[in-house]
Amino acid sequence: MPDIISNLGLGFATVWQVLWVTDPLLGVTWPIPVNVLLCFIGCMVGTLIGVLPGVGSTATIAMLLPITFGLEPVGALIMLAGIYYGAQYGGSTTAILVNIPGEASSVVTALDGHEMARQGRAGVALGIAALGSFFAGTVATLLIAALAVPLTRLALVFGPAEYFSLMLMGLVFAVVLARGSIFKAIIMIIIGVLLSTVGTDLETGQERMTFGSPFLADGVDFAVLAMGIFGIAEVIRNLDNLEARDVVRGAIGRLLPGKEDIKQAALPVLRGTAIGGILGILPGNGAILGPFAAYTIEKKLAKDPRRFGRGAIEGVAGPEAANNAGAQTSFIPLLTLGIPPNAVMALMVGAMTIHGIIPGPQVMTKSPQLFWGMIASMWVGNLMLLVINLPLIGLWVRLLKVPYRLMFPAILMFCCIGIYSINSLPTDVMWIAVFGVIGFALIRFGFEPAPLLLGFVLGKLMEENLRRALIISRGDMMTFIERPISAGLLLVAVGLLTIALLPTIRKGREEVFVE
Amino acid sequence: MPTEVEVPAPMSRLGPIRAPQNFFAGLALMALAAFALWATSDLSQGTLRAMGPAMLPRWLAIGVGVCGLGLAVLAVVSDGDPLRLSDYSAIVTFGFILVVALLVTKVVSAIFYGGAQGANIFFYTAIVLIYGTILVMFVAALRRDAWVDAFGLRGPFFIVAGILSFAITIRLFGLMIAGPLAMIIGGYASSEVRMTEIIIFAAVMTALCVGLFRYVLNLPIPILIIPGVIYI
Repeated sequence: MPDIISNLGLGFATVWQVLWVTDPLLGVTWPIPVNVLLCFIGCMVGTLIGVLPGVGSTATIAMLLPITFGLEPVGALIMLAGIYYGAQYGGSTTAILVNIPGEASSVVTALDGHEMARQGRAGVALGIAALGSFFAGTVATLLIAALAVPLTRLALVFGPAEYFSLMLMGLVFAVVLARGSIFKAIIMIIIGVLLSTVGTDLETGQERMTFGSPFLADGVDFAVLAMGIFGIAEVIRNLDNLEARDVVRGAIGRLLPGKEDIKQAALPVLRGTAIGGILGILPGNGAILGPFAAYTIEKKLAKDPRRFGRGAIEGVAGPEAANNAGAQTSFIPLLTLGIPPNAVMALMVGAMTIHGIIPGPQVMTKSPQLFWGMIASMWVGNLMLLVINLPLIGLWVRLLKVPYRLMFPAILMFCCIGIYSINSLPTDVMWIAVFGVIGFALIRFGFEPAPLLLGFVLGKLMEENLRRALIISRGDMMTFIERPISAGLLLVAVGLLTIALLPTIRKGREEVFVE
Repeated sequence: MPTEVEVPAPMSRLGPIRAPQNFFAGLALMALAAFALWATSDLSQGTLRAMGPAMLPRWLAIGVGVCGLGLAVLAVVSDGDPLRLSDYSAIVTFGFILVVALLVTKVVSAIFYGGAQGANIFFYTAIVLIYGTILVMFVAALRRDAWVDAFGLRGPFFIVAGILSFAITIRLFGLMIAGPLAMIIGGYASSEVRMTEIIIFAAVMTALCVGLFRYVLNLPIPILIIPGVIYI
């Protein structure tokens, strides 16, 4: 316990770090809390982009990634985390006000949230979403702080064989929890891993599948891939369902929920936090399941389940808490084991690598400031969302009324500038068009692009660990089964896959996502 | 004169194939696998004890191929989502442009450059074909021909052309030219575009972006270049 406090203390000290800057006009030296400022800016722009209908948090982060590249690593990651929360929160705002969920995790919020908005209680829905998220965020921050040290210690025991099995298990989780066909998700992951093998082979130095192109010599650029497959492809896809938007007209109503509302929402928030927090830790996209599970449970527990879908406040409070808790605890596998559990965390890995930080257990010991600063910034970010978003609701509503025909060209230019600014290479800009078309084709053929990105990021790590494990075992594949931890992880993976493919469970899985 | 074009109804099957979407996806995967196998064919696979560079890619490619085969076979046996041709016209057209550009590259490079300059020829051919397509669509959009929207080419092609325009002009003329160009050309991806509106909006957004990226974030991005006259 004292450990946690001193660690979090270090984190908050990092977040509140002050830079003394002399004002050239007045000659006065001002203290500027740089990291808090970055966190604030991150939350703001994250919400700004995340609020746009049809732009999910993955796309938001992919688009905003480049603006953090010029910063110090600590500041950049704090800002990126801020962008993430902002995007998440923006997605909920859109779900409540427009009924177009930016992505899967806010689908459930749209059910009752939008109904509340129609009844003139949009303000209360937004307020309870913000308060519930803040509570969930606080608990999740503490959970991360508590689990970080033991899990990191566990990670240090892991050898290459265990790492490989763990990542394989993570991918299986991601497949099982992905939306749509399991088979197609598997295909996407394999293609993602295949894509990660393009470039110079680290051990032999030979070029693989590069066709002599300098763009491919270092492997496919991560930012370019993400921006194309998420940003550009989303823009193209959204062009098809233009202007079926149903922005809430009329008053937003008061923002702060009344006593009665809080009483109704308190328990759902608690339950949602627990469900979301636990599911979020799972390697593989557990966070996405949280809101669905929370909604189902609230509906089952309710005295009158018919109220759900007609503006029940529990239907907003529970899933929103679960959403935020999961969004945050999904940082745990990344920060402690260095394994990104979903596409958003894969983007975080990309950002960390660009700043020269290799995610994994060594981050905590090597750069404790960065590690704990990031964790503390999560809480600060949540607080900021609460403080900046409730008063700014009016602004977001106005933004939602900007027609898509103007919004998407702006997004397009933003993507171009962003990707150009990374390496100052016009070819990078062209490649986002190529990957945009590829992403668009994937969507059209019914493939979800998120597992591909995850496979791409894990692919490099997996190959490295596979090779290392096989060198140690002198080419004996049995090493993965003979080592107990590795065998256990593989067993879980196989078991999970079998269960998911059982006909009855398969039906249930489809129902969860349909509802 | 505006012409009426009817959007064909979705096809739920194609001859004996009951899930056309999955069937073509399967074929595409097999093609991808074959391509990857060909691309890694000059590398050594090594042994399990000392894995070579080609080991993993090759097995993954085989995996992709097998999955593709499975998908295609399943598509013959079981029902799937119906397929609307206009949803895929852009993908097919891009594929067509790719093939044509490759052929042109092969021929021109062999005749005029003795097999050299392949990348450049490919690039310029593809650019000409893409801009040619959007030029035709632009004229049709101005005449309000209905086929532009019905064919499903409009969105993807204008977006791609917008990005390409940015990439081509950013180094030559700077952000103040490249930005509006990307926004205006890209803006025509939507059938609801209005010319004056998008031009004014593009100008305002570009000014904002110049301020944000160059002066606030301090990114080294050229603002305005007029060759020989100005370089900001």
